[in-house]
Amino acid sequence: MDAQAVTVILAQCRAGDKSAWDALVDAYWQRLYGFAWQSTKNRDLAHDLVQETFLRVVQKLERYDHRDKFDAWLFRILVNLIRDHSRSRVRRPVRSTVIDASTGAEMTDDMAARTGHPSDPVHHREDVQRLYEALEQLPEMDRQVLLLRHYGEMPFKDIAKMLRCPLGTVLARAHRALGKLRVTMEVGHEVQ
Amino acid sequence: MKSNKFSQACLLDVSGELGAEARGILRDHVETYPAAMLEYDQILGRFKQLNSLPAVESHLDQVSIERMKQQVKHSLHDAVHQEQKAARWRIMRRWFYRSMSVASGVAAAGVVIAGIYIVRQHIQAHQARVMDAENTFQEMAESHLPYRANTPIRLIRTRIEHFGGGNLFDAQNGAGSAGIMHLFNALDKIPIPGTEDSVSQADNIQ
Repeated sequence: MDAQAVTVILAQCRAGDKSAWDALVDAYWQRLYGFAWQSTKNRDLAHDLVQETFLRVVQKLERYDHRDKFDAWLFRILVNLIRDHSRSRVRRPVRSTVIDASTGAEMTDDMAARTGHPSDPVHHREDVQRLYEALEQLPEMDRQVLLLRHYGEMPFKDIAKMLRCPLGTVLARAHRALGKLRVTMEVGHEVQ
Repeated sequence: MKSNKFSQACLLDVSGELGAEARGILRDHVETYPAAMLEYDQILGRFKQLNSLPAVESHLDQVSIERMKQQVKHSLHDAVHQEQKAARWRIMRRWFYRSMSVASGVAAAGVVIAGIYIVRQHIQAHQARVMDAENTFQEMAESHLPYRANTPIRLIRTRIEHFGGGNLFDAQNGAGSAGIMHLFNALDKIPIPGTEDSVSQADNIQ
């Protein structure tokens, strides 16, 4: 969604148009959920956090400064919510369960994610699993930059603005994190 | 080109964020130096690897996605409704305060104007009383106060004539009137030293 379309939708949202709010959810839910799920590894929690993010938008839309990018603003709210949540729960993992349709077995959320779609080739599913593991081993800030780039689809410049740090720092973090991912993946391949 | 700057430029390029001019410079550099080409390819490969992270659909079926979206939309509609009610209430409260401010302002202005009017009335009444008192005092001074030493004799005579013209003395018929006339004549003949008026007075009487 380009900036002009976002501006139009936000104006309609301000006017109380409920279909505009629906359009906003359709446009951003997936990106927000992907980021929240990858950050929390919990489906229900990710859903709640995304919902809370949109509710905050309703409350704070009047104060939104149009000079900022809406995407960055939205993700900043979500990142703050995730940070608040992780502080309050002190890394107590709560894993929701899903039922595997093919086997009927109960799996935790991240297990289901790692298993991937049944139509995925086996080697791809294994790669994805290793990638998830590698991501989990990254320092919090490095992981955040990669997730914002991938799920948030945000340019590095906007990520830097959002995290309130220089672009060089963000690029250095991304470069370091990508390097570690690569190493972890290569070690995984060698072990196999 | 410094190593860290080069890797950052590569990252921006593979991310599609590098400007055309900078991209041209980077390409020239990469094509010139084989080591740079190798590093560029590594960064590109790592970036592609990041992009292979599965999207949400890989661990959520479409039905679940739609259900979760609907839940968000439903809660948003409620929140929007509540927010609109709150906004209406805020506007009403703002207008109430504004109208109260205007009314208070008008009332204050009325009190000030009334105060000024009352004070002015009081001052005018006071001035009128003072003027009346001055007039009364002046009239009293002219009609009743004793004459001063330098009052011309002619004026004294006029006054005495006026006094004598009343009920107490009759200048023509009363027994004391002859005496009074003598007194007038005697008074007229008395010269007042240093004044021309005394001479002219005496002439006029004669």
